[in-house]
Amino acid sequence: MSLSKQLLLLLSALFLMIFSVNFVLSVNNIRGYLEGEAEVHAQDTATSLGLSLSPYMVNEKDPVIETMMNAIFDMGYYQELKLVNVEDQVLVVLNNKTKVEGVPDWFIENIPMKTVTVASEISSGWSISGVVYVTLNPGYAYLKLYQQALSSFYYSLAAFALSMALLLVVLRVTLSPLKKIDQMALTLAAGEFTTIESLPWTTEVRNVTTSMNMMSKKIAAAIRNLNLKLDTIGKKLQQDDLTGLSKKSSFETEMKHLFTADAGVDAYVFMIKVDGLAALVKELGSETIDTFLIDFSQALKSVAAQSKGGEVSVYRFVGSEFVLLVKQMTFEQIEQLAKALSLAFVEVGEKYQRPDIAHIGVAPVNPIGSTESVLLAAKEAFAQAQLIGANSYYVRIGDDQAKGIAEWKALVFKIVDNQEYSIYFVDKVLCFQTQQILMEEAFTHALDNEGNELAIGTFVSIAEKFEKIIELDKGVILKVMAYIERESIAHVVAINLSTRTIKNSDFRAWLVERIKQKQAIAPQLVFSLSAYAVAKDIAAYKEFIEFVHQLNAKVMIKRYETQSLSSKLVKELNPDYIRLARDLGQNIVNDQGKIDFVETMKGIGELLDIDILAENIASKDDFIRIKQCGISGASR
Amino acid sequence: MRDAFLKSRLLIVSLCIFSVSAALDVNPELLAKIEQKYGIEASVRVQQWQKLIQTSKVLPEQEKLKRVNDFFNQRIDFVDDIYLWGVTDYWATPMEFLFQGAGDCEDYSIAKYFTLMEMGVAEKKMRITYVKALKLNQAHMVLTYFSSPRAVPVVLDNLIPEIKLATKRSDLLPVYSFNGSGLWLAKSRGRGKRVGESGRLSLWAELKQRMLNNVIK
Repeated sequence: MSLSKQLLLLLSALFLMIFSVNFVLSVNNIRGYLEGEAEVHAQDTATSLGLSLSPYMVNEKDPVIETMMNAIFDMGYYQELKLVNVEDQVLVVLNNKTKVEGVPDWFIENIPMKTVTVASEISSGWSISGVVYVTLNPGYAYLKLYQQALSSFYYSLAAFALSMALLLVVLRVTLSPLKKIDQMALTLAAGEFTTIESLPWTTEVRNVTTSMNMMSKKIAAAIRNLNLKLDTIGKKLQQDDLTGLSKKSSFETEMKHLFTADAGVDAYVFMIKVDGLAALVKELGSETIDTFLIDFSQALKSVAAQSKGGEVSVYRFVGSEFVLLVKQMTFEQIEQLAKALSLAFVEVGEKYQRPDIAHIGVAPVNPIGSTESVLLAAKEAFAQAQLIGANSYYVRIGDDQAKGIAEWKALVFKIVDNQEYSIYFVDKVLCFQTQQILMEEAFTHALDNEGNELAIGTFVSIAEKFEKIIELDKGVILKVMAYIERESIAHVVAINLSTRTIKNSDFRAWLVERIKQKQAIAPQLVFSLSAYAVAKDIAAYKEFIEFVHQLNAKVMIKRYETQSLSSKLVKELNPDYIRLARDLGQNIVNDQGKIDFVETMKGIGELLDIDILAENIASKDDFIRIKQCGISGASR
Repeated sequence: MRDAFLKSRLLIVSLCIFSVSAALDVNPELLAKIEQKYGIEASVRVQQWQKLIQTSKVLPEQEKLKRVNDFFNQRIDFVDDIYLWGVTDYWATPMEFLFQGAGDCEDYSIAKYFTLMEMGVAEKKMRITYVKALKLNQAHMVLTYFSSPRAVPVVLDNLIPEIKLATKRSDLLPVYSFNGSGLWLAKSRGRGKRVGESGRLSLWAELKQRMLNNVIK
């Protein structure tokens, strides 16, 4: 029950008590007063009547006596007038039992008023001649008491209602800051670091508000600092120090996505190498070489920026090795781009008096291939280009993919339709604190017609391309749920979902139904989403994560890299786990930048209540080092 | 007449104080105080009064009336308030009445009434009666005693030493009479005292107690 309700109840009970006691006391006082007045009235009447009757009491039969008493009695105030002589014999008695109207019986029964009878002795001459008794009719007193009680009741009621209204207003005003503080605490928990500007006037509440504001500001500042740190470290890790170009790891992420989420998008890889860089270093000196490399990368960037249509990304792999990833361009556009690069190289070469500085090998991205195979094909094209001439290029035409893809499609459809795939669990994440398994990840496993193991990347990529992925994801979820139940495992299981799946409304309805049937295991289901995919469609993923949380299941953002998502976005998305990209854990022991990044992520995780995990830490030293960073767990 | 009536109302306090002293065991310490303050005669009067109550309880009523009437008429001097107290209308308590050895008609009537009550004379047989002293042409007060309800009362008066039948007192014109309790109630109300909550007897007792505390001061 809310504080305001409790206070309202307590105070209304107190008020009711006070008003009731006041009412009862007031009615009692009026009754006491009326009774006192009645006695005085009766006594006055008795004394006056006694004095008046005194001269006539010589003859007890004198009709004047009764006439006189009648005259008094007929005024109506009296219930009984009685005159007795010295021997106590009744001489005159007058009665009036009629009830006064306007007073309900229950009132008379519950509030008794004593009937006052007073006496006055009558003397005539030296002798005592009798006693007159006067009893007042209590009806008049009752009527007066009833009227007084009624008005007293209405006044009390009005005063009570007014007090309640006032109380309600005061409580509202006093307690409304508490509601604001409550709201603020909720927004704080949700990661919004707001403050309350208008401070309440109740001292205690004002102090709490000030403290909350301070806390909010401090947390906001801490988050801001962590973000700044993260950005700085992230850039350092992801970008080449000299040229400012992205590193190979970014290229690999992009390629992975190209094989899964963006399957079907036409893409080409340009392999560009500066010929004989080592010889150049000797000749020009390292400082000039740095300038040369900067000029060279500038040339790459400016050509990429000027290219028409499509999307071009530039990477520097190692020393002399540069790569361009080009998406959504026609073959002609690719050739034009290669030609433009070639011309740019000539220009750079002229500056340094070098007619031949680099060659370009271009290979298309084959959806059934791998990053390695594409890079290999590009390298082969590069070798061809070297044969062609100075600064020249060679574009390798796509293989006969059509047949391959058709075969793949048939195979994937058969496997998914007949559920010929199985799942296995890899990447067991160990909790650093308990040494227990924290999480494992479900992977799909399938064989081709000849019984050979299928490359799962390609399998998923084809399923995605031909919209079979939702069915596959559903199948995997069912198998994971069965596994959790069958094995009675205690840890959580990560399930990968494609962008197509998370956006599909049929899938969501299906998931609600499944989870409804198995509510107990819902918290053990962790839907794993790649940071790259999330970054591409923040709104859809944010909404999906909220949906998953409503089902009481969990969400992990995997392959989290320095540049994939800002910590502000992470706060908005509110995942349960973040798994850092494999690269971040590799050779961490020798890389302070990575250590700083992981530690910063751990700080953010603590503030936002997110478990930070690491993946595939093969080396023992790296494993020990990453454990020291304080994150929740890692897989080997 | 009006003065007399008001005066009679106030008398009740005196009555009560008187009753307290009667209820007291008049010990040597108290007598010493009375003697110190009012002189040896006052102390003697109080002792004689106490003795009168104690010795007369067994006597017939007519004898009680005579002794009480004689005691006050003979031992106490009639003095107007203006001479005794310096004011026209001063209501001395019966104790003061006894200590001073002087008082007016009201003081006599009340003192007699109460002393007789202490001796066991029924309250209903006595009335304090307002009369007009015809020869003096002034308001006066006497104590009347009724041997039976219809009987002609006898009059205990400080103007004459004998107790006579009322019919023999052609010098007095009766106006009205009150019994002691009625007088007490009327008086108390007139003085703004709280009345009616407890019974008359217990009030009487309560007042006795209060007076006890005051009298030894």
